[in-house]
Amino acid sequence: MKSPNRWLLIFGVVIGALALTAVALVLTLNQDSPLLPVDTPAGVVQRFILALKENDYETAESYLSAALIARQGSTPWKDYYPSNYDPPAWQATLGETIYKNQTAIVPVTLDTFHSGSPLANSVYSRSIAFTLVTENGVWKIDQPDYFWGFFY
Amino acid sequence: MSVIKRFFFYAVSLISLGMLSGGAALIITLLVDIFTDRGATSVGRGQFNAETFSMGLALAVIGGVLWAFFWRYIQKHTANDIEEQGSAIRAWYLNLVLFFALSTFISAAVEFLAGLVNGFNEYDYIADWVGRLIIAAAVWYYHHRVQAKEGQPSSAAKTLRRWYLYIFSVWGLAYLSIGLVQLIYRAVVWLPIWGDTTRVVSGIELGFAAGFGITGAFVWWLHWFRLAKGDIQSTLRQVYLYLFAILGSVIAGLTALVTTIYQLLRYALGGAPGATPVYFQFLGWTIPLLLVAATIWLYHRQVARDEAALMPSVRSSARRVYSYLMSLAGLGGLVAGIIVLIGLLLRLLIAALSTSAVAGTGGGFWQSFLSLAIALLAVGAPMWYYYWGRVNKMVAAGGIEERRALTRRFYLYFLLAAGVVAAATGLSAIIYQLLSSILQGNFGVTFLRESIWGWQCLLVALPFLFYHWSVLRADQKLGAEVTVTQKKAVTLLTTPENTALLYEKIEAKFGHKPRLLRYQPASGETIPLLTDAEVEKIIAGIETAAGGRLLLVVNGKGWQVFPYEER
Repeated sequence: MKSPNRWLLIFGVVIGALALTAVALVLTLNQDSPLLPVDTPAGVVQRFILALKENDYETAESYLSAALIARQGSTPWKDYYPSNYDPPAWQATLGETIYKNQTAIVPVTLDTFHSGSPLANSVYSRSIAFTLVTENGVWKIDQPDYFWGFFY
Repeated sequence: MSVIKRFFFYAVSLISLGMLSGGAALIITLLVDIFTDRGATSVGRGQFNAETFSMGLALAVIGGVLWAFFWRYIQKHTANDIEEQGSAIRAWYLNLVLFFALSTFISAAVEFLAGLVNGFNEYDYIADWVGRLIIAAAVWYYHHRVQAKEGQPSSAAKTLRRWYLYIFSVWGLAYLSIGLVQLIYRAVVWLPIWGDTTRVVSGIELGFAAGFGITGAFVWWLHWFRLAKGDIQSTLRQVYLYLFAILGSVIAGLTALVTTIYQLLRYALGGAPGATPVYFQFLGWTIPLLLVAATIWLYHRQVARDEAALMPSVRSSARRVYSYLMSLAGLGGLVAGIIVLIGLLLRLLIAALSTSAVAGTGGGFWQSFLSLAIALLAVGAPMWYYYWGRVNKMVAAGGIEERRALTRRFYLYFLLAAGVVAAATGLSAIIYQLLSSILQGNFGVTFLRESIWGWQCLLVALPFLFYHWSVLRADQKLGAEVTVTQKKAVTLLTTPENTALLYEKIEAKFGHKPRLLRYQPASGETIPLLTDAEVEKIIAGIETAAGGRLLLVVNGKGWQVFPYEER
């Protein structure tokens, strides 16, 4: 077999093997972590994000501090998620929680997938710092103020 | 007329024509507005009307007088003067006026038709559209007549005319395609089959789709079928055919196909949980786009084949350009698929190595990744394999001449350059993230995560770079880039049939396209078709002939080579 054709065959086999590996991994692995304890800042942020995902705004609001609700009104951001809205695919990863005085900061990396630009980077990453305060011994989200466009 | 004087007269004519057109359009706008009483100018009506009228009249009168004077002078000195008619400045002037007039006409026509379909609501500025339509059509028609009467008596005039023709052929075809796809999509969305959540189709959306479609159809028909008819010797026509119509439609069709496969796979793999029938509305644009792109592709491919058949000297190069373009389109899809696939695998690896908790995923994050990678690979890989295989067969049959072809050299060096740039970009991104993470003390998963894009670029670029470099090296070893030392400029005087037999061989052998002259046989003279052996003898004869400039004559008496010099 001529040299360029041999390389072509090797490329084909490698790409086929990589594609099969990807199919197997995506279909068999569950990437979501189990629910973290609700009495930790990370557990609260995780539940808040999952409530947003399910369009369960009442539950989502229950994780917000009274001060935040007073500042922004009662979940005005929910109007930005109409029932037929199809957000891009996303993944939220929690970073190490930082405790500072009476507050906790949970860094969240939000990756959104955009299929329209395969020759460019298909994933848009954002870092969002959630600040939590304790209210009656329960961790509540106090920052950021706005959540509309969260999954864009 | 001297060049400076000519430039001065045409520049002033252009500016004054702009003033005249603008002023006349304002007056027509005002008249239509008053006549239709639509109230679009009702804010401060009296003052507005007076100011508009004054401005329009001032522009029209001053511009009109200036234009009439300068244009009359130009026309007087151009009549019966072929040199003046063929001047580059005049060609620029005429084609610029035609370009601006038709551009204005197109934008006004689209808006007018959109408003018409929407039923002209109270905010539509109909008078402005009508004013622009009338003036643009009049200016275009007058200058079109001037140009049609004179023809294109110089190569500059011919070239600029072709630029104008093919720009609007592309423009018209693009608008027609967009309009058709949009119209069908709006109609599909409007159908009562999407469950409870029916998307409302507004009249203005439908109107713009109709506006694009009708205007595009008219502009394309006028320029492609009427004005550019028979212009088969043009290089710009080949650019239109191959680069815009054929490659453009293939890319549009592939995009539609990839999107369809991606969305269906994503749904099948569970990546669209809770999807309602509305999810499938994408079929409303992907299927029409596929059909429109396929129609454009088939039609233009046939035109390209038919025209190549009329010019034997370019038949094989037309086939070559087509095969390399298709190969490039397939390679684009394949590379994009591998980029997404590697991105997915790296992210899966990071997820496995990372100690950070994944708070959640939505919208089928992993399934979307996988679906896009498979869709791109499924479309790009077979296409590249087929057309690259065809290219390899052409190379096997054509030997060193095929390897020397400019299209092949351009294709290979373009991919080599793209591969080097992608690899260098990827490597730079990786090194930047590596140094940054070491200095910040967070080397590890964070580095891998931040450098995913760099790895994607590098890992995809390297194998393709290596492969195309090895193809290029193989060509070079076989002498594809050996400079043809014995360059001879050959002028060929014979019949078109014998020209077809000699043209490519002379170009390949002596490094120059021969200059062609058509032999007019004397009464009763018959010129036989050259045999392969005679062609070889002629090539050998040119090779051994003294001098760098040679006139080859093939007529009824046989063939002769004369050395000559330009005076």
